[in-house]
Amino acid sequence: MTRAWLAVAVAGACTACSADHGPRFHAAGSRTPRAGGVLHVATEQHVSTLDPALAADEVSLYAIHAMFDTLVDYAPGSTALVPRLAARWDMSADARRFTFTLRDGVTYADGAPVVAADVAASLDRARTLPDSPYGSYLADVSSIAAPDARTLAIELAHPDAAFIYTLTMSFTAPAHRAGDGALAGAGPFTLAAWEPGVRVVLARNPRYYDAARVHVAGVELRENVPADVQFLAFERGELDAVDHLAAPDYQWLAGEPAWQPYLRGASTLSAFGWRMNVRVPPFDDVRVRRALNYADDKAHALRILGGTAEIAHGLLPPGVPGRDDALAPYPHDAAAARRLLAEAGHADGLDVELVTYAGDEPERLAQSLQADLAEVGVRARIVTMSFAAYQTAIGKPDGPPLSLAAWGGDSPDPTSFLDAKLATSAIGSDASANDSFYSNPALDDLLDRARAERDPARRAELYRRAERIVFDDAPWIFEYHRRAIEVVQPYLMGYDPHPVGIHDYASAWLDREAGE
Amino acid sequence: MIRVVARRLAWTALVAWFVVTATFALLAAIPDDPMRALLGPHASEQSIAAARAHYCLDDGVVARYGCFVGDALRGDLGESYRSKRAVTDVLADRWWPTAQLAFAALALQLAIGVPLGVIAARRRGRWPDRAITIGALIAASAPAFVVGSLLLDVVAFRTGWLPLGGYGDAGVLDRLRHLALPALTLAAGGAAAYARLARAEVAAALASDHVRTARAKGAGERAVVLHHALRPGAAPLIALAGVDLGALLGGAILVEWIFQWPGLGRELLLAVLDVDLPVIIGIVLVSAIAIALANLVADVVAAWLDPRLR
Amino acid sequence: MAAPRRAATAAILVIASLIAIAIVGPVVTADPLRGDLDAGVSAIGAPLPPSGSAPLGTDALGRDELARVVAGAGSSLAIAALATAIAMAIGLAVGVAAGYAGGRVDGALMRSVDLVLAFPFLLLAILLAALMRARGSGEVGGTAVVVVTLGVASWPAVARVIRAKTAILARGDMVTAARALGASPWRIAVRHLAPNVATAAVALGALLFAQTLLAEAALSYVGLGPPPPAASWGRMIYEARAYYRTAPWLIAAPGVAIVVAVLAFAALAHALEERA
Repeated sequence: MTRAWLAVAVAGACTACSADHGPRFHAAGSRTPRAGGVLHVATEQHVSTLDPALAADEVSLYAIHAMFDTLVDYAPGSTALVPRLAARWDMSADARRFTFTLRDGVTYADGAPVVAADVAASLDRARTLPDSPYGSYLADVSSIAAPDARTLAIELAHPDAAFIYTLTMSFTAPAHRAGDGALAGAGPFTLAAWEPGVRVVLARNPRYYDAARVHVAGVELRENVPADVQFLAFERGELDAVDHLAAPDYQWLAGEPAWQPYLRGASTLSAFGWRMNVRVPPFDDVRVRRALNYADDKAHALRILGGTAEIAHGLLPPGVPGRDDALAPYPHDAAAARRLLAEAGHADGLDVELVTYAGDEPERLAQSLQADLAEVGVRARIVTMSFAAYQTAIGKPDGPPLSLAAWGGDSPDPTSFLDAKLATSAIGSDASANDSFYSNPALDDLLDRARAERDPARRAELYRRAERIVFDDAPWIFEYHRRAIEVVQPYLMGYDPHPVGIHDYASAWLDREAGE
Repeated sequence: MIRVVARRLAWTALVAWFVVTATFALLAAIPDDPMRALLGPHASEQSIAAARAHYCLDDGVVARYGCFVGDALRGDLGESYRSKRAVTDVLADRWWPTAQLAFAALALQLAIGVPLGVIAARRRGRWPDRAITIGALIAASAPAFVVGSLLLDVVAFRTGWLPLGGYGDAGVLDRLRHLALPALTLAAGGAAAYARLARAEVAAALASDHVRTARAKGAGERAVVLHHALRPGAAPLIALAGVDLGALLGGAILVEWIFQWPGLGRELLLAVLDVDLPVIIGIVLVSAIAIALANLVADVVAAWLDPRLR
Repeated sequence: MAAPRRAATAAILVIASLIAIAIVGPVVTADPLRGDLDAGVSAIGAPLPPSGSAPLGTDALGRDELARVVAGAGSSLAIAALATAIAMAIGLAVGVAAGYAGGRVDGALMRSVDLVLAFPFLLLAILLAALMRARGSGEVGGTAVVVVTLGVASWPAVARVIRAKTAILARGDMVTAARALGASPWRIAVRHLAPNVATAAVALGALLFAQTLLAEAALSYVGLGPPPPAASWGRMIYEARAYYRTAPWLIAAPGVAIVVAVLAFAALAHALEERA
């Protein structure tokens, strides 16, 4: 054949013949964290802004999180809250008043002191900037006060025990304009260089208040690097970790015993499936919605994801308090699906449109569901939209009635899923967050009571009841929760996938001899 | 000559106006809400409405167009929805990488294509001619992304000779190392076209009377090929090079994507996927002007080389 | 010269067998759209390598790769053929009109061609595809988008070449003579211009066909090609990119198919040009 394809054959043969598939680099064996070195990571997307009030995408937050410490944050690799800039905090008995006391003597990188009024200013900024996506997170806030330099008091119009999680989000971080006019925070790293679309370089903040927490001297985050190239670069040692392993690379690594110790997995705060507009026929009939849940073989979705997911019974992912782990997902049961469809008057089958967006996975998931539905007589036509068009369309009441649903929660709390996606109050007229247009007073009542509940056990019980309602009413075809699968070099320590998706670069350290 | 250049410059302005207007019209027809794309799925309806108002997206198409042209004439192309950076800044960052890539590819095309074409013409019908003709056909038939992916895998990943994409900022040598594979990928198809054109032109010239005269006067083979065959054949080659810039800029979209070359092409693709209208229009404008100017330069150079065209 | 003729014969043979495969193949092979996520992929969802039951292996949805390459011959060739037909129809009409009419009509038409050419081809194609894609489309609609995109983006080049040919012919002895004998412009166009432009047009069409195959693959590579579950070659390469290392057969099969098809059409065009 042609020369080019001869090269393919040669390349293929070499993949098969090269003997050593294990890691090429090794740890030096230190038991305590080493300081120094630069952490090299990459992302498929790009950093769009380094302004915490404007960053709507996860990748921008990778860098922003490292530059702007918040009052509270998640402990590395867990969903437990730890104090950062706040030395302590307190919630009033009615879950409406939050008081924070800032640490003493914290400064920005240029030496200016961090004061409570800076936090108030950040919150105000998010509320007033027209293109900040975060204004709505503060919709319930009735007053913000900074009575002295170290005290911040926030009052809510309605009780919300989960509001504390909002204070982990970077837009709430204190910030000030440094000498060059750019926004600077009081985080473990400062910005050394940003070439938009190419890379962000961070350097250790010499004035960070908790110097012992930070190990590496800097971080280089390369932008717009395709997943397969990331993996090649990782194998060559140019990257220290691959954050979002593509399914094919994971499948390859999963078969290599030498790599097993360096694969990292964690549940993410996500829910995937297919949302239905429950106001539009045939999805206004709960029997049809349940039938589709029985028709969908969730094991297929899992295989499409290369095993990097967990099957879902509802919206709440594993690890979120209040999730009813005993609730079994809808089984794959074609007979039950056909029976329910016949009861609903669709014995001759049904024609539906299956809306998805362009991309490997979303298109494959649609094709798999299409095949499963065909088995029970539902003829699905796949419609592929650009991601932007898809996002615009699904929030409209007259938008596509059945489409892929991909939701990432902001916090490890049920409000971030159930209130955000299924409460009556989340229904809008044009860009509705509740894109199922599902409205159930019984669920709303449970959610409102849970928000105001301070006792974790009673709160969890209320959410378990809410989960049951959602399961029975099936506004989605529930499919899976994503697992973050990462691979790290043997010498990279303390770099674990985090449920909220943002790595804590400060806790990472490189176990390499100097000069290696 | 000056009048011709002036007319062509006026034409360039017309082209620029046309592409901007056409792109504007095309994009105005996209039903996507760029603010939904920008603010993400968690933004509330109120935030989106506020952002739409901020970017004048609720005004009529005609008003937006008038507003846009007015700003553009003052040198303000708006700001990117995604990065909030001025589009002129984005273009200023991105044009140089693409220019380097395009010129490197052009140089490679000429350096590979023309000598091969001359060899083929001089050995017309014999095996070097056949081999070159077939090789050119194959080079023009392999998709750029297949060639690029193969080069990336074999020359960069397996051997480690060259980097796995990126721009390279540790000096000129580093830049050249990063530039080599993308430029070669981009040049592969074009080199074939130059080889074929050079072969045809030189073959025709070698059969002409004045070459026969030159030979009869005892001119050396080298002089015959260089002065009597290649020089008159240069005009069409240069015209092709001028037209070719459009193809190079188009091809650069894929090549920059594969090799993470931070140029206009990759920026365009990212902008298209995110419906970043101001950036899309800015890039289309720059490439249209570049193409028009390249044609102009090619014409002037061709006229200078071949007095008959003046 | 013997070589071009032999090359042309070989090219025509390859093209004929591709068409035969596209027509007969689907009868013999498995269903290219039927996935099998139970037995057609490994336990963690990896594609299966070539085996007796699937000679070219399976893809990530457990579909038979051979069946998809064969089905891809049909859709890729059909997309390229339709897009080429659109481009040739517009390009011929504009080119002949401009070349024959000359003067102001010529000037106006060619300037409009230049305006469209001010967009780099792939840039225009990506813009058009993104625009039409945004509206959301099913399989048939999405494939039509690709056809129209490629057709609309490539006609100006055709118009330029045909105009040059026509202009030379229109000032030639034969047409002058016909005009002197009182033939109507329509008759001149049909009887004298068309047959003589035809040779050039066929060579151009073959070349355009090859370029359209490549362009379809390029659009697919950035995710703007025919929507799933279509089995076009470009789309198959797009889907297989991530499996480049783990399942190289998925990219090799449609890749070889594209190169062979493009090569055949390009060789045919080359041979026809040599003759013309």
